Amino acid sequence: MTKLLTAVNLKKSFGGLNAVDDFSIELGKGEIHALIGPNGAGKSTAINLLTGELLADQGSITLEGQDLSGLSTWQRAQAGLGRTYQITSVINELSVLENMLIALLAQTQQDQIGLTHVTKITPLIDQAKHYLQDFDLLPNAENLAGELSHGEQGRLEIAMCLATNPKVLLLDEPMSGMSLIDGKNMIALLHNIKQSMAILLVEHDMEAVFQLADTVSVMASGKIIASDSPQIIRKDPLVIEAYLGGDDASG
Amino acid sequence: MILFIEQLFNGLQLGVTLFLLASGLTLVFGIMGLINLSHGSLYMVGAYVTATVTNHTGNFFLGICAALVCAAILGVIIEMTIMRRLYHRDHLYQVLATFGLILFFNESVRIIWGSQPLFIDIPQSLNFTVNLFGQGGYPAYRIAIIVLGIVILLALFVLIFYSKIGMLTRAGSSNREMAQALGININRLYTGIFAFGAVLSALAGGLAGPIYAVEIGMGESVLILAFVVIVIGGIGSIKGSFIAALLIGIVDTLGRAYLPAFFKTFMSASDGAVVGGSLASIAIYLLMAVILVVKPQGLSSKL
Repeated sequence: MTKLLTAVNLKKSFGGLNAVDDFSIELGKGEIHALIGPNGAGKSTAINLLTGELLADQGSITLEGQDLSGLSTWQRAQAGLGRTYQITSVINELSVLENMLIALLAQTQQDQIGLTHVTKITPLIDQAKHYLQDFDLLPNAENLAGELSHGEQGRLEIAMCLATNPKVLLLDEPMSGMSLIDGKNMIALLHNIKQSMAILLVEHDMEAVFQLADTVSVMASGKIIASDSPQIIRKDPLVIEAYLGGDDASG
Repeated sequence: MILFIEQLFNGLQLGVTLFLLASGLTLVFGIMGLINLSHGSLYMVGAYVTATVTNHTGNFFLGICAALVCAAILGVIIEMTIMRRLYHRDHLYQVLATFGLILFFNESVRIIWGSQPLFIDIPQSLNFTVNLFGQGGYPAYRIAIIVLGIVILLALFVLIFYSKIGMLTRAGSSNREMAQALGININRLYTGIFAFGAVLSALAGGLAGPIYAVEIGMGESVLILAFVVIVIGGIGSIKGSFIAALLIGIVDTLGRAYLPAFFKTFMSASDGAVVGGSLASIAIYLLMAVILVVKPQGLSSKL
């Protein structure tokens, strides 16, 4: 398996609190790596450190050998780091088609002048519609993204992210708040796309995690306390105590 | 009647000047959330550079071009060195810092150009009058400003709604984090928008040069009007600020022309002049109050 993203010893503290401490992770192509842990364990902070939305106090991040540590968020995105947000994030004020166009345009900004008349770039529109078709959003193309259902917005967000051709996909709770059907569709979708990229999946839905993940890392209080195959993680007493046990007891 | 039409055109011309100033202000406020009090300083710098270059070369259009280039460079420098540090801060910090810039620019202009106002002649090619509806003459220069304002409005619309830059800008203004996560360089976009606003402001200043005196502090009085315009128009709205700018320009001009005469019809001449004059100077604020009561978000809530 080819390693795409490698993070070594990332650390971030807010005041005296170590939000993320000694965080190391390797993401390989074709692999879904799940990151689980109780609320406040530092999972979202870890993602933000990888994308550059937060700057790590120490540690290094490399993508295919390229050092990302000093790059800003948009540069890391250009390098091939895609992400979605815990709170589904699309551009509410624009139409679904325009949202797709922006994702496609974001990748071309280096080599095209900004005054291009967007509606004249038919190949781009065709491409956008193609994505919408794949994600079952084409009937909503002209609607405002803010008017979509939660599940549809989640699909649009992932479609936009994929349109930027990421090598590594960081998904922050993509199933949260989704209906059972939408959640199942999301699982099928992630299965389909995982061959061509590395995926880091932060998720609370344990059924989805154990169904999808090749590797599971467990975070507690900012640290990774265990990292192994789903079968072994399920039986790890440390993990059960820190996380899974509490869940089982409560239902 | 002919006087009325003349005043109406004067109002339109003031309105268009205000629009050039307000469009940059409303873009910067609407997209970056930045209150930029020093926007009027670029108006002043635009006027001074236009005056200097015009008086040296004898070519007004060269003067305007020089002002636009200067404003673009200044805009980039100000954005990268000062404004960039202010986006995440409270409005009070922005007001303080940009007020400091006003003082800086006023003193700099005093050092470079002195305290005496400068004057620019109307360019020869536009120094004639046009017959409006068959009677009376109206200066072609003012008509040219009105036409130019409309052209710029249309250009802005095309830029915002149909160009790639406009689309990325709208994405960035709506969801900054996500736009960056998609790989859009928001910083560069913001620098561009800020410099663009500075250029429009300097254009307004340069065009106003031949009509009003070019003097220190000329940016502040017009800045207040520009803020009234963007509040009435709806913050961040280009369309709204165009309508609001024309409204303010016309109400202000007609108010000053007719309110004193109106009050003189049922008051003594001196009382009428005082009451009418005072009312004329607060007419636009009354207009703003009425519009905000009816539409608290301003005339338009969209770009």
